[in-house]
Amino acid sequence: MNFSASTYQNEFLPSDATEVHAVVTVTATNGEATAATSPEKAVVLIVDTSGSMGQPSTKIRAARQALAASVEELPDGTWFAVISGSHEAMCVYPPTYATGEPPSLVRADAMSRAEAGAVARQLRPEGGTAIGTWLDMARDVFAGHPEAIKLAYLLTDGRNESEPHRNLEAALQRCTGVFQCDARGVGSDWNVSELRLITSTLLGEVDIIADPDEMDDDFRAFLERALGKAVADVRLRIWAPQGSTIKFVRQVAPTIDDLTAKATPVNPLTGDFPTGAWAGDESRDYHVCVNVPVGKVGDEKLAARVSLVVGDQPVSQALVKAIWTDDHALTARISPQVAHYTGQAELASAIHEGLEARKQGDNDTATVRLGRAVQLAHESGNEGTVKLLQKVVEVDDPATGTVRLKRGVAAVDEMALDTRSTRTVRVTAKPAAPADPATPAPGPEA
Amino acid sequence: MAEAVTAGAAAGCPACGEPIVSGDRFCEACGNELPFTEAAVTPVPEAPVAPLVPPVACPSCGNQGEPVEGYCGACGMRLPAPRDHQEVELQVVAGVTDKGVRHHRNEDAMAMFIGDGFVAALVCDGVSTTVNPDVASQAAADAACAVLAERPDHDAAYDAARAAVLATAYEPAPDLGPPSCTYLAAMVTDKRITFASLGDCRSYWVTPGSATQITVDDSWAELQIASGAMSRADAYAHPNAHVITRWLADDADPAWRPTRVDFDVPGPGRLLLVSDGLWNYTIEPATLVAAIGDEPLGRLELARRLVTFANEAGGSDNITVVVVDLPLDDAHPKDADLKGSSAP
Repeated sequence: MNFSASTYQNEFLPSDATEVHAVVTVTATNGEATAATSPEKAVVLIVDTSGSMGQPSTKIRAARQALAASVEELPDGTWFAVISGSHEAMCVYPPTYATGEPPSLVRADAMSRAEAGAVARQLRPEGGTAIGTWLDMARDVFAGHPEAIKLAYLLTDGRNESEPHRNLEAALQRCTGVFQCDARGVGSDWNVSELRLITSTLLGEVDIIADPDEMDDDFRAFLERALGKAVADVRLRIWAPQGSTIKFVRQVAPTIDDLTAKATPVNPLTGDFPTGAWAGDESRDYHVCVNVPVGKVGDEKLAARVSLVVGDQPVSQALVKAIWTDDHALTARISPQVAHYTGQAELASAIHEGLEARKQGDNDTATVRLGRAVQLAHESGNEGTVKLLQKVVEVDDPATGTVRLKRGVAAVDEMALDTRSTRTVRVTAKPAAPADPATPAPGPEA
Repeated sequence: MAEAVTAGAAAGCPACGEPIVSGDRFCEACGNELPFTEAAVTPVPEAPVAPLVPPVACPSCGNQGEPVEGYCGACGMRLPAPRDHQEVELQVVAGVTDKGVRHHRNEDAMAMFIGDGFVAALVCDGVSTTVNPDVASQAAADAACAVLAERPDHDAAYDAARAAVLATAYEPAPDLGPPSCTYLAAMVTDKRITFASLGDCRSYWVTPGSATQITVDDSWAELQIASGAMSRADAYAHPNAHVITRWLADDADPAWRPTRVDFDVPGPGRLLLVSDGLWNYTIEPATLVAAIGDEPLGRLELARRLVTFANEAGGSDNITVVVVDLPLDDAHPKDADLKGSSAP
C-alpha cells in the first residue's frame, strides 16, 4: 500500500498577509491486501429495534431482510457481531448474553453466518431509543480486537429520546478512536444533526434511507466499503512553525468534515488529525489553513508540513509554503483547488442555513441562502447537490442563484438535502478562457 | 560553494602526454607551457531546498535543531541554500550571483569557461512568473557554456540553451508560464567580443570613469524609446518599463532569436555582464560609473561591490555581476612577461 500527497496552493503572499491556505490531496494506491499484511476486519451491525420500526412494519421487515442477507454473505474470517438497539442495547449475535460471557465478536463461517441470519430474521420492534447504549455495546464488542479495522453501521428510524443527550455525547467520547461508525436514518422521523454528530465524531458517513426498499443495497454497499479497507488508523500529522496557529484542517473530498477539533498534540509544533481506515484505492482532499507570523518581502517559510502517518510511521508528506512578495502577478494567482473547496464549504453552510431559516419560517433568508447554494452547486458542477436542491426550490436562474421556495416539500427531500449537503465534487479542469486580443496581457518581468 | 570543475579537451600535456591538473599553466613533467587553461567552472544547480547538515543555526531565529526539509524546524524560515549567493573567480573572470533582498530565491544563473585565448561567459535570469525559473536559468547557462567552450557558435549555444530549458521536467501551475529565462552570452577575445542577447541582462564596457552599455534590452521601455513613442526618462518611469518583450521558454515565439552584437575591443578595459537586479539601480551609465568607484579593485571585489551596492539600494531582484578583464593575458603579468620574452 502506497500513499502519496500533493499540495495545491498559491504560496505567494502579499506583504501583510498571514493566512496560508492549501489543499492537500492524499491518494492511496496498490492496496491489494495480502493475507500477511492486511489487518483483520471487524464489522458491527447495529439495527434499531425500537417500537417505531414496526410502524409501518415495512421498516423492520426490510431491516431483517437486509441484515440477514448481508451477514449471510460475509467472507470467511471476518469478525462480526449484530446489536439490536432500543432503549437498551443487546448483542443478539454472537449471543454471549445467554452464557453470561462478555459481549464479543465472532468469526464468520458457515455456521455463524446461518445462525446470525436466523437471529436477524427474528428481530422484534419493541421499546424506545437510546443510541448511546448501542454505541457503548459496540465498543464492548470490539474491545478484544484492538489491531483490527473496526467499522460499525448504525441504522435508526427515530430520535434519541430514551436517554439524555449528554449520555450520547459521553458514549461518543468513550468510542472516539476505538471504532468508526456510519449512520443511516430511515424515513423522516430521525434527527440529521444527531446522526451527523455520531458520524463526525466516529469518522463515518451519514445518509438517509428514504424508502425501506433501499436498505438492502445500502447494507451491501457498507460491507463492500468496510471489507475494502486495507489500513487502519491513518493520521495527518501536521507540523507548523513556532508562533503559528492551525486555523482549520478540513477533509473536503469526498465529503466535508472538519478535523480541527480532533487534533491530538504530538509535540509543541505538531498535532495528529485522525482520518480513520483507508481502502487501497482511495483519494481524499484536505483543506489546511495556517496563520503564520507575518514575514518580510523575500522571506520564504514552511507554513506546514503535512505528513501521512500509518501506525507511527510517516509514509508520505506534502509541504505548505509561504513566500512573501511584492509581485502582484504572483500574489494575485488563485489556486483553483483552494477556491473550489472554499466554495464547496460555503455551499454546505448555505444549504444548512437555508434549511434552518425555512424551519424558523424566515423565508427571505431561506430563499437567499438556498439561492446561493444553487449558484455554488451549479458553478462547481456539483450535479448531485443541484438535483437535491431542485426538490426544495424552483430554480429560475442557476447562474445568478435566483430561486423560489417550493411549497409542500416532502420531509425526506429536505432531510436528503441536509444529509448530503456535505458531499463535494472534485475540481474540474475548465478550458482556459480565450485571451482577449484587444488587450494583450503584459509580458513577464525577469 | 559548489563547483564542477571538468577537464577540457586536452587530457594530457600536448608535448609529453603527461596527465595535467586542470588549471595548471606548465606541465609538471616536461615544463612545456600548457594551453591557457582547460577548466570549465560552473556553479552546480542545487535543489532549492537542500537540507543543511545540523547544527546550523537558523539565521532568522537562531534555532540549531533539526531542519524540516531545508526549513528551520522552529520558525519555519527557509535555511540558506547554496544558490542564494555564489562566487566564482578564475584567472581573468569573476562572477557573483545573489538572491537580493526582496526575492525569496535566486533565479539568476551564471556560467563561464576559460579557453585557449578566449572566455565564454553567460548570465541568465529566470522569469519569476513561471514555474522553476531558477532551474531554467541554470540549465540555459550551463548548456550554452558547454557549446561555447567547444566552438564560438552563438546559434548552436542558444539552441542548446533552449533545448535544455525545454527538457526540464516541471509540474504546470495555474497562471504561471513554463520554465522561462533571459539569455546573455559573450564570447570574449582580446580583439573582439561577440554577444547574443535575448531579454534584459545587460553588458557594459567599462574603463576608468566610463561605462558604455553594449547590448540593448528586449524590454517595454526600450521598445518605446526605439519607436520614438516616449523619451528615455518617461519610458523608464512607466510601470511597464521592466516588462520584457522576448525571453526563452517553451511558450515563447520560436522565431525569437538572440540579438547579435559584435564589439571591437578598443583597448584595455573590463566587460560587465549583469542582470537587472543591478541595472535597476544603474539605469544610466553614469550611475554605474559612480557605483564602480575610483579605487582599483580586483574582478571579484568589483563584482561583490556591485552586488552589495544593489542590495543596499533595496535588492529588489536577484543580482548577478560577471566581470571579464581585457586583454585576457594582461590579467596574468607573469604570463605576459614569459610570452613577451619568448616572442620572436
